[in-house]
Amino acid sequence: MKSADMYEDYEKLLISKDYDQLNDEEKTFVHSFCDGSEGYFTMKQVLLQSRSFAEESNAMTPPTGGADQVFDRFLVQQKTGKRVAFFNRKTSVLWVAGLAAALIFSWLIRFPVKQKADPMLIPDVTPRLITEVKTDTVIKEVPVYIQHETQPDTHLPESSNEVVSYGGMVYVQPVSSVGENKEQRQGTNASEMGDLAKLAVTMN
Amino acid sequence: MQAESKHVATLIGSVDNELMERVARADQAAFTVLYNRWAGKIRYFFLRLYSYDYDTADDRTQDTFLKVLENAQKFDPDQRFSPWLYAIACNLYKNDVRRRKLDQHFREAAVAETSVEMPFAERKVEIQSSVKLVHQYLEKLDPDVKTIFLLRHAGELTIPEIARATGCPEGTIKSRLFYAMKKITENLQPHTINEWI
Repeated sequence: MKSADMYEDYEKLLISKDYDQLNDEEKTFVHSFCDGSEGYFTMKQVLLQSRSFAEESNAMTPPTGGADQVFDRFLVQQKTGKRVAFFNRKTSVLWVAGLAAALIFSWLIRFPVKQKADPMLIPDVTPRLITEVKTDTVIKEVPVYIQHETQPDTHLPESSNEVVSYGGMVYVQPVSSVGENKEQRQGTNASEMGDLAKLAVTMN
Repeated sequence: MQAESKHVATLIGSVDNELMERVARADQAAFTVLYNRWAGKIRYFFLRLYSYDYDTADDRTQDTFLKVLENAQKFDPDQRFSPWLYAIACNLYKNDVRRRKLDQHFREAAVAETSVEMPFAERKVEIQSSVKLVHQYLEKLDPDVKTIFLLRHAGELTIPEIARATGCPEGTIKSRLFYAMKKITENLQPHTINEWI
C-alpha cells in the first residue's frame, strides 16, 4: 500500500505520540513518511501549529452587512430573476466583450461571407473506386495561321534580266523586247535570242 | 422586528440541518442564525485563500451564502452542513482561480504582501497566529493543495468530506495533505522549530 494512503494514521501518531514513545512497528511505519526523529518532530510541530487555524477560524467575525443584506439580495433576485452583484465586478467589461464576440461569431456562422470559389483552387478529394483503366483520347489542336500572300516589293532594274528566287518560285524578268510591236519585232529575233541567251535560271 | 429577534433567539440552539430545512422555506431568521454561525469561518477560509484580501474575501463570503439560499432545497439533510457549505466556497474559489489564472507571479506577489505584515497592523486583524511562518509557507503552495490543507485544518473536515467538497478522490486528498506538510516542513529551519518550544 502506498504510504500516502496511510496519511491519516500518520497524522494520528503525530498528534498523539512523541518519537520516543513509538514502538518498533510504529517507527517503521513513520519512517515511510519522514527521515527520523528530527523529521518527525518538525512535522509534529507543523501539524500542531496548523491546528491553530481552526481556533482562528472560530474567532473570526462575519463580514459587515450581515445576513440581512444577503437575504435582501436574494429576495431582489427572486423578484427580478436576475443576479444582483454586491460590488462592481471588474470582470463585467470582459462579459460585455465576450458577448459581443459571441454575437459576431454567431452572425458569421449564420451569414457567412459569400465568395466565388475558384474551382482550380478547390482540391478534389472525393474518393473514387477505379475499376478499369481507360485511356483518354487526346485531341491535340495545332494552331494554323492564315496570312495573305503578299509579294514583297521588288525593285529590279528594268534593264537587267536577273532571275530572282522567291521561296521556290522563279520570277523571270520579262524580256524587254516582248512588249514591242510584232512588226517591229520581226527581224529582230537575233536580238531576242541574244536576250534569251542571257537568261540563266537558278533554283534554290 | 422584536418578534423577528425573538424567533432568531429560539433558533440559536438548533442544529445546522434543522436550520437548513427552514432556510429552504425562505425562513430569514433561520438563515440569520446559520449565517452568524458560519460566515466568520468561511470568511477566514477565503482570507487565507486570497492572501488577506479582505474585500474579495467578504465578497466571496456573501456569494457563498447567497448560493446557500439559492440551493437550500438541494441540500441533503442526511449529510453534514459544513462540507456542503465549504464545497460551495471551494467552487467559488476555483472559478476565481480559473478566471484570474493565478500564476506564479500572482502567488509570489501575494507572499510578498503577507510577509510585509502591513495588513495585520492596518486592519486590526483578528488573526493572532503564533506561527506566521507556517502561514507564509502555506502561501507558497498551489491553490489546490492550499485549499485542501485549509479544509482539513481550518474547516476541520474529514478526508471523505474534503473529497466530496473538492470532487477529488480520497487518495489524492491524502497525497496532497502529505505533500503540503512536507513542503512546509522543508522550508522550516531547525532554529525556527526550537523557537516554538
